Amino acid sequence: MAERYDVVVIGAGPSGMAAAAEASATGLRVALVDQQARVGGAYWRHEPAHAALDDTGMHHDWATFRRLLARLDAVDQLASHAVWSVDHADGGFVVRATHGEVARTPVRLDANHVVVATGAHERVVPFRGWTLPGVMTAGGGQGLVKGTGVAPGRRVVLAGTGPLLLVVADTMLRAGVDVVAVTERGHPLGYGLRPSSWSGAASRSREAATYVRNLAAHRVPFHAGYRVMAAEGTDHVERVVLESRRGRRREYDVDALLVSDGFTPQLELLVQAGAGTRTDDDGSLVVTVDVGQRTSVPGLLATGEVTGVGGASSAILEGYVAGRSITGRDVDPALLDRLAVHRRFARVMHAVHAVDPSTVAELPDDEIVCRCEEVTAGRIRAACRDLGADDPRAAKLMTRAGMGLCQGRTCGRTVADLVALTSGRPVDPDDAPRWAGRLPATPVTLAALAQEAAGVDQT
Amino acid sequence: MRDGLVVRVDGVEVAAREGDTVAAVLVRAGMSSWRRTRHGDGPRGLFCGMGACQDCLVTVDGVPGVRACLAPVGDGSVIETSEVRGG
Amino acid sequence: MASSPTPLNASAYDVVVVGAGIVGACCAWELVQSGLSVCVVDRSGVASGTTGAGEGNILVSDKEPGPELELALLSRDLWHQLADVLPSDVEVEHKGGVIVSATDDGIAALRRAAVQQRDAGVDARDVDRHALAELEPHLSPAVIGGVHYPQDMQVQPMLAAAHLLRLARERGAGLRIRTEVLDLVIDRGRVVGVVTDRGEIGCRWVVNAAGTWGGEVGRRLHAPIPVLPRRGFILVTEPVGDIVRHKVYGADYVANVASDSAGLETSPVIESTQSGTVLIGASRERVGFDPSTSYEVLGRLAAQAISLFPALSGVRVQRAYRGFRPYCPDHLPVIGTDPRVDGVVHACGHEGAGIGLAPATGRLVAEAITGVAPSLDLGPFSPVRFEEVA
Repeated sequence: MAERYDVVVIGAGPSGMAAAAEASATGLRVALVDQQARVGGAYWRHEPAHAALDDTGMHHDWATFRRLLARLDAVDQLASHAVWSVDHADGGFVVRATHGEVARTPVRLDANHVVVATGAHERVVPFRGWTLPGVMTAGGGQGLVKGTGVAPGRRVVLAGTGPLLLVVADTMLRAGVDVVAVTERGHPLGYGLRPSSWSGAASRSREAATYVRNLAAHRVPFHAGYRVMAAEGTDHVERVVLESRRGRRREYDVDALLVSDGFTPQLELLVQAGAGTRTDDDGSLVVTVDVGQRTSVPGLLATGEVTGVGGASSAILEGYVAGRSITGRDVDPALLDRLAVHRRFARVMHAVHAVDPSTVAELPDDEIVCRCEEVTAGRIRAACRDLGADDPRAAKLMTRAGMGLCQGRTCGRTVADLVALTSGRPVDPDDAPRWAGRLPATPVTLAALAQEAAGVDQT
Repeated sequence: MRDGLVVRVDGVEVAAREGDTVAAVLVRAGMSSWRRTRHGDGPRGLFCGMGACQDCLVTVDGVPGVRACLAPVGDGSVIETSEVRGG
Repeated sequence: MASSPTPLNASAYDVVVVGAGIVGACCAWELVQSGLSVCVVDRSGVASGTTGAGEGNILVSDKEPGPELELALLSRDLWHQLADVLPSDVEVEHKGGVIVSATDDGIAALRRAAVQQRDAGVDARDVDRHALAELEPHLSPAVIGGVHYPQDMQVQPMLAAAHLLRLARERGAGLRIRTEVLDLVIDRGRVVGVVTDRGEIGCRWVVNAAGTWGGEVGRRLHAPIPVLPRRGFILVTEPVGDIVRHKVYGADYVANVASDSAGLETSPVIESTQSGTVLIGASRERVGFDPSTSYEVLGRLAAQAISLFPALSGVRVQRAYRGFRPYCPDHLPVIGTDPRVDGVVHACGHEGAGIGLAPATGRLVAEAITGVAPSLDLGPFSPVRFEEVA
């Protein structure tokens, strides 16, 4: 028996919360669905007690979170619901989910409108030793601290590229973790080289400056222009070797390495539902939306990182716009202007923190690219050289890269770049949607799937 | 410990807090890995921390393949590590 | 390199094979063994069509006595030989298949079919409940018997195609992917080349091994054949331990393949793979190339799998995908020279049996082109056997 809603918002991060709050304001029946145990997404991942507090010292824009939370009173908040499919049915949509990470109870929601606000997961460009325990994404380490108060390690290095590194370093310091070093592939001066008033970077620069000052106050070295050459250790990471473009090395003893090389929007539900996509300037596949956050599929909207990686502020605005769209209300043009400013900054951010696709050329043949199926770079290169693979799908079929439980989420971009580099055929934008359209969007039991069959003879 | 929940990890009683994920319990207990891959790449634990990578899988209350980074613990949860399917 | 280094306006080949899937690969392999120069052309990439969506079935069990079974028996033996030249990645497995039933009527029908298959040379062994439990310990107790077919085999189809093409290229064959055949070049009544979107390739023969697009390619080769798509879905589970050992089919699998019903048909087909996943099929629908998902089908496949193997109930599906099988109205492939155009040979329309039937198809194609007496009577596979020819 399905629950019927006017609007189902999938993803309860900043943009999902904003969309749900706005859509419910006129009395529409709204559900806000998320696979986590509490709303907030990755950005506002929190411990249960925090929601009642004005300030925790651990979260950004906590007042905004609390304001949005208060506006969700009339919304059905379906936590611990993992959505595996969005499909059309009879002029509306069917949203299929399983409730409970352990219980996995099948749930079906019917909706007139669906807003997909599923955010992005982090992207990590592989390096020697990246599969060692203790090597994790910066956001993953941060989520652990913010969500449970547990630190990922006692001595950590943060590496990769992007503004998130500074933010997570700050979180780690607040949690009492010894942040041994922060390294950034690019040069944050890149922001300075672009007119900040045009790019809207002024306030971001101030925020970044605060983080950098805090690092300095804690005597945390910040190395610009360095990348991780290797993570070393036996059963877990014990040492990180960094290298600059000129070949200068730095080594640190650690028990955790937090890495982030940007984000990969989680598009599977949108691609399943047939929404049009495009490649954004950071190379990630994103969904195309109009000024009202509507996708090419009537009734299906998208907000936040899935429309382009741009951070929480623009995500919230987009959620608000989507909520207005659905309820037929106008949006103050000043807000749309603000959104445009945020998007301009996002483009600058993408440019400053771009990772050259040819970086994969440095990956040794015997290093793992696909973590789930343990497929090495060498095996993928061989499929291109010897077996004629020149697109990610062929490489997947021939090596199993992307055929494991994560279905290519973690390795997808690396595989695409590696195949393009080895085969000589440039990355084809049309390949990406096929890679990104996973069904089911998250693994689902045969028992749950069997419920879709009407009156099947079960003998 | 406040919010005293008690869970079992591989048969051993461990204290936990309301709001803990399975991953939090394991990491707090000093574990950086709790499963092995099928083809010998080695031990795995937390990687993406948000349910995308499927590296952090554990068995909870007899159900295998649970994402430790997302699954909340309850009082009496039975957590079993080193689960490898098809290995 | 992704494509052959030969320049586009190169000297002619003996044969151009259209289609870099399993059938095209087998054709190329056989032709090269026969001493001919070959170029394989595909508008997309290697194994980018139905070969990339298949389970890798090499079956004799699901075929009623007749031309297709004869083709299957020959082809199965050729696969057995190919296992010696192919690397272990290709996962050629002498797995064996078991067709099972939960009803007395079903068992009786299986036994009758098995008698006829035995007469045609198939190793088919009746198994009772006890013997089934030894073959498949996790099979539902509701299943009361079946027939065991030790000759059924399994392979990883994309790697099989890719390695056969590699072997052919090592013996001089060319491979031009991202190259679409548009038309024929005919001189004095016979084929002298093909026109592609990247220039002409001279050749004396063209083999239409374009699978589900064999109808369109046939049309472009002035030799139309009625190949249509039949959609199928497959569920792929997460890696699991030892639950399924053979290929296991529900009793009405055979009937499904031969039926002419336009609507949805499903029947359980379950097998494990060397990577540890379990593949679950099978469904057939005539919906053109509609790529949309039918949740009814996915549900039926899941329910049927659980009914055969209750232990699969809590196992998770990590991927569901679709493929389009190429079928002809009489459910037999099109193999052999086309009398309408001197130089065109067809090798497509194998429906759900393309992987299994590919080596024999390649053999027959090579025989037809080199003028050797065919290993099998090609009459039933004739390109002009259909009543309406476009």
